[in-house]
Amino acid sequence: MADPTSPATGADVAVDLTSCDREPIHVPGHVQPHGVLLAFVEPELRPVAVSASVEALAGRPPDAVLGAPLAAHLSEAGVAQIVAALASDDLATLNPLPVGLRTTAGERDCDAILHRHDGLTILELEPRDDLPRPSGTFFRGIRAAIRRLQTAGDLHEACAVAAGEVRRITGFDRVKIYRFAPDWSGQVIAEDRVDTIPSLFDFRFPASDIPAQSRALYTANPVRIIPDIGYRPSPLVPNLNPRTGAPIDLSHAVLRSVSPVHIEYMVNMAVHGAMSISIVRDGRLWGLISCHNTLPRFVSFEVRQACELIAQVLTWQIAVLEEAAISRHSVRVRTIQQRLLHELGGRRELHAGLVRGGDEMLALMDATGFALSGPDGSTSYGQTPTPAAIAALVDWLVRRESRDVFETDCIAAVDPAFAPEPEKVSGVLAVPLGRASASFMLWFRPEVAQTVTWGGDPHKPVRIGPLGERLQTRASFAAWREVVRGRARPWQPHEVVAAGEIRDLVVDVILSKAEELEGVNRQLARSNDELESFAYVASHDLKEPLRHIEAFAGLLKEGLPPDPEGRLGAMVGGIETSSRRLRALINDLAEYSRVGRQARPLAPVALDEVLADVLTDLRPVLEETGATVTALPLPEILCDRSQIRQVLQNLVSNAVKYRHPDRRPTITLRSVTEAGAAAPDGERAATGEPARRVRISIEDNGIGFDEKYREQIFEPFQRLHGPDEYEGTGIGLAICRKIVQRHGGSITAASRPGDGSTFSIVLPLRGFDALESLVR
Amino acid sequence: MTRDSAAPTVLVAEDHNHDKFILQEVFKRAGIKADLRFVDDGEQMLDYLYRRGTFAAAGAAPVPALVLLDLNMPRLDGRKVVRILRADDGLRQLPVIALSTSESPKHITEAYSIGINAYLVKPASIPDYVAKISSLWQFWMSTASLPSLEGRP
Repeated sequence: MADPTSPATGADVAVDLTSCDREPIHVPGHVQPHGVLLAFVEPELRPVAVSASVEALAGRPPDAVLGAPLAAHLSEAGVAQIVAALASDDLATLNPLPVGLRTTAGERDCDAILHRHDGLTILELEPRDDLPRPSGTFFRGIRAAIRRLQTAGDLHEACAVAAGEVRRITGFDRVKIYRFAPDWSGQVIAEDRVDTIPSLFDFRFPASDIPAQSRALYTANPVRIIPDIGYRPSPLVPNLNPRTGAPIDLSHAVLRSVSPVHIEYMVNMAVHGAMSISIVRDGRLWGLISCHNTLPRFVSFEVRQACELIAQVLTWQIAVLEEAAISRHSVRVRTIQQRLLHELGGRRELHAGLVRGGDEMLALMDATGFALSGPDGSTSYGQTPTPAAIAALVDWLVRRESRDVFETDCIAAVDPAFAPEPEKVSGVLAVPLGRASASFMLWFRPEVAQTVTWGGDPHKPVRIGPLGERLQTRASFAAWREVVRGRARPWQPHEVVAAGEIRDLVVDVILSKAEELEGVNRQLARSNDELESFAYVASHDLKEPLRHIEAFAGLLKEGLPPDPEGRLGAMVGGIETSSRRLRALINDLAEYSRVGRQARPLAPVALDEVLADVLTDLRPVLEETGATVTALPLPEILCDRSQIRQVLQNLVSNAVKYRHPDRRPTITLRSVTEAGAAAPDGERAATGEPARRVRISIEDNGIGFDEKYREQIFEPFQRLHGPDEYEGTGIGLAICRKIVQRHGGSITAASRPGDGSTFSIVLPLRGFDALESLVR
Repeated sequence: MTRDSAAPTVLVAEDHNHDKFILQEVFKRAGIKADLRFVDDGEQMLDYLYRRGTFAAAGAAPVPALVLLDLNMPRLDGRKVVRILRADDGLRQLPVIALSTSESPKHITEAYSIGINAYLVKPASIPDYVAKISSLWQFWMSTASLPSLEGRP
């Protein structure tokens, strides 16, 4: 990298920063000899310091200049210009002033550049000699350059235009646009050059090549020129600021002499004339326009100003282009968000909605994988780490103090365990759903195996160079290619913003779902109330006329006239049986409606004990039918004991009731613990996966049923047999299903007609939290 | 209805005609000789007991030996009637039997707590009903000794 004014090395940053601290590059005590520097303490316009170059350029020894009036060495018109400029409010804009330098060989046409700093007024004279003053053609050229810059469609085009225009104006052999990375390493992103000088396009240079102190100077003073790298530094006589008693600060001087280390760097690069212009965005050094020449090259102050103008326009253009890119992106984000919202809004389940909208989630962030991770496990889409790796990553994120967005282009740098396959996942962007939330939205990016072309090997060990203690400067700028692995394309600021917006959207959806759920609950409570009234009506108002019918039938039966054929008796009997059946239906319906209303809090219940109670109750019918009940050990679950007891009782008595006429009933109860999503307390079963559910199956060798009725049998009052074949109203299985559902479980049935049936209940082991299901 | 002066009076508060009919039939089939007097609701029952309104005429409201009371009645509810009776020095001793269709333990406990003497669930089947009324009659008219309510104002 061409750094005209600072020490440069190929060594590592820490060492170099130390070196930078040691080198006071803003007070070198010398200037470049192509001009003269004079320092004054206003209002006196007699030099208090002068560069020794005055002798070579004007034929006067410094002693003759010090303390002498300006008019002794400068043209009258020149002095008048200087006096007028110093009286003006805006010194910098008046530069350069045309001033004649009186020499032993006559007057030399010079550009005078004035600035005030550190209590001193500094006048620098650059002889123009034969350089023509800028013409109208020159300024038209600048305007054209600016127009071309403003029509550039993207960053690289803008930079290429800027490089070309600067080279056209300055005539340097190679002009490149160098962009700093966040780590202050830099890369050549555009270049314009003659064929005879090697290209540095795409080359990367380590941060140590332009140390912090140089960057600070570049930010303050945007243009630097070294017309001849082989110059002999000219000392300041004396190098003393009489106002401060310190050496003269040349931070803003155009003639400031640069570090010998930097000179060596340039020589190694075969560059003998150099100039650079800073690109400063929002007070931060964004990059440099860097100009190299194989031979010494001087360009006038106006040309340098024109380059500064181009750099300024480029800066604005970069801002405009970036904003345009962000706004294009945000329009896209908005569109995708709308689609996503539609997808999420229309769906009851957030996870399903996000997965369904997975392509959008990926497109939005230019990612290849997405996951939504909650306390209950994660849902992944696309190319993501394994669930275990996601769980470990989320665990780490939760333990972090911060609930800010987390982003990295190299997750392996945090912990290699998070990305066992870096080629698939290297970049991670994690957005927490809430301040106290353990739920995260995660986006993943794969490794981009980048080939970085370094301008010389950046990993060379530090060597002591010819300049003694100082660091060895880079000797070779031959392309040194390195493949960087385990890094993804970095997340851009606008992408991080978009991720936050998606989070807000998802949180909104969750909240509206919560509201919706609340609404549904209110509605449910209302319909529960209605059911309750219905149950009351059923048990009281319906029952009363029924009771009267039964009573009258009873009275009638007792008082029948002689009835030899028994027809009247049969009719009364018909009324009685129908009434009984109606009573049974009403009772069962009332019971069905009561499930859930008489809810008791869930408590740990040993299912073995419940089954023992059930078998005791059913002993008469079990003995009567010669039934065998075999039960393998059942677990303890969190449930409403009396309701679960009713379920087991209904299922076991059904198994006996629908026994095969040719064989004794054999009933087998089994239970299997099933893995589910991650339990909050991390309890794990033998499989290593958290155990969450228990499946209890009740298998019989009865008559079975046609599987096409497997759903229908759980509906209230659905029967597969006439009431004359089997007693009952057909409410038992409906009650079972209602109870099991109330416990957050499910019940299913399977059968082979003639062989038997198996009823399976799946229940959560540790109870059921309705809120948990929200994020499901 | 024949008035048998030898038969004890039973005051029945029952709003439903079917139930009145059925209860009469049940008493008949149980072979109980009782003077059944029906009122339709709590207000009428209090009128009867305090001999007001339509019951003001002499002999219109013989003092009952037992009260059979449907707890769920229109207007003045059976429970309120019981509370009024139990607060009245003259009527506090009157045996009150609740007739109800509810088997809910909550309802039964509640009824006893306001001071009824017995709670009877109306059976649907006539033979059951007859059996229940027979044993009820047996208990209150033979087994138990009742306080004398004659001579009250």
